[in-house]
Amino acid sequence: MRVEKCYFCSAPVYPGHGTVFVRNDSKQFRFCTAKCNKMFKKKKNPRKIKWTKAYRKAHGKELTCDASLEFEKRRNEPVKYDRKLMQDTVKAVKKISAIRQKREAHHILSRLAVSKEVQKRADLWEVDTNLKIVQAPAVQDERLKAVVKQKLNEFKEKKKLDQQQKRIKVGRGKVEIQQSEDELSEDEQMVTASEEMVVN
Amino acid sequence: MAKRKGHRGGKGKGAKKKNSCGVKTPAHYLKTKFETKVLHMDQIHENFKPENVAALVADPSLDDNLPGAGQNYCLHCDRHMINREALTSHLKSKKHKQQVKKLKDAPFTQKEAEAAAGLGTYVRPKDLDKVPEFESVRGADKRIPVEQAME
Repeated sequence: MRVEKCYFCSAPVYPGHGTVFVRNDSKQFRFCTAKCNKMFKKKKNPRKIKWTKAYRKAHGKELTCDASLEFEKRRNEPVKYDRKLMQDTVKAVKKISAIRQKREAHHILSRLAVSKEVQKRADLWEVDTNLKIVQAPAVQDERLKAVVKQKLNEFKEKKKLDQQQKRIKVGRGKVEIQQSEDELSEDEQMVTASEEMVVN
Repeated sequence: MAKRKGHRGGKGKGAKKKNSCGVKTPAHYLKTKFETKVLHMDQIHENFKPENVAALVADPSLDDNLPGAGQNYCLHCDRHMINREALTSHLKSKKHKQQVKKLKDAPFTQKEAEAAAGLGTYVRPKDLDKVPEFESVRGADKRIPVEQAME
């Protein structure tokens, strides 16, 4: 009695569920549902079908390389029943799966955290430009506006730094790119100068 | 599913058939279009191995049940052509080129599915840089030309 993995989507296939297709070359293909079976017959590549585990791992959506993943393995050698071993295994399984779930969750949250920064910047810009729609300029809090502007500038500076870092990485040893970097910085100076003029 | 003859009104002249009886829907043709190709992608990759290439392309045995006696076989598409000209025109066709492009993907295995499920580290297998072509090793058409057979 074993819980298999579906060939197509990597879902668990419990006893009494799914189908097995045995091909002429004696290879077995287990499917959790008819959905996966039909995809297989249509010769779809699981790595390209968005909802399969293979896609998620291949595209870095989920944790792929971790020590906590090395514990679960297909072990083909049966072990003589030992009560103590069984108890210890069950304890270990619970602990390891708890750790693994935490790590997987962390991986996903850190992946999604990037969008939070983008959203934050967008929200700050929204407040900065469109506050006058909601509040009359006379009523607006100057300190709040200053804080919003300062935070926006922080984002801008950070982006500039990141871009410079990228250019340095690409342009090591190439003189042309360094020259263009100077030109761009001149443009940026012009932009910031014009901004200052507008503000004044 | 055929209606029972009682509901049909008998088997003879009284029998009424459903309008769509005997008509194959487009879904049926789509299904058979994809399923008539017998080999899966990983089986085709298996056929790229030298021993299988020898048996299929380099030195195939004459088999009268196959089109072209099995002498003009496209390894990528798993298709037998009727003669060498048909094969050469097939190799230039869009369908063949699309199939070659599809074969660039590394074959998917049960092991990879299990790794994706969480049994160990998942490493995405590398796609092939270049799909091998077999025209350089293809053997000549072994069938006796018609002129010779007439003699």
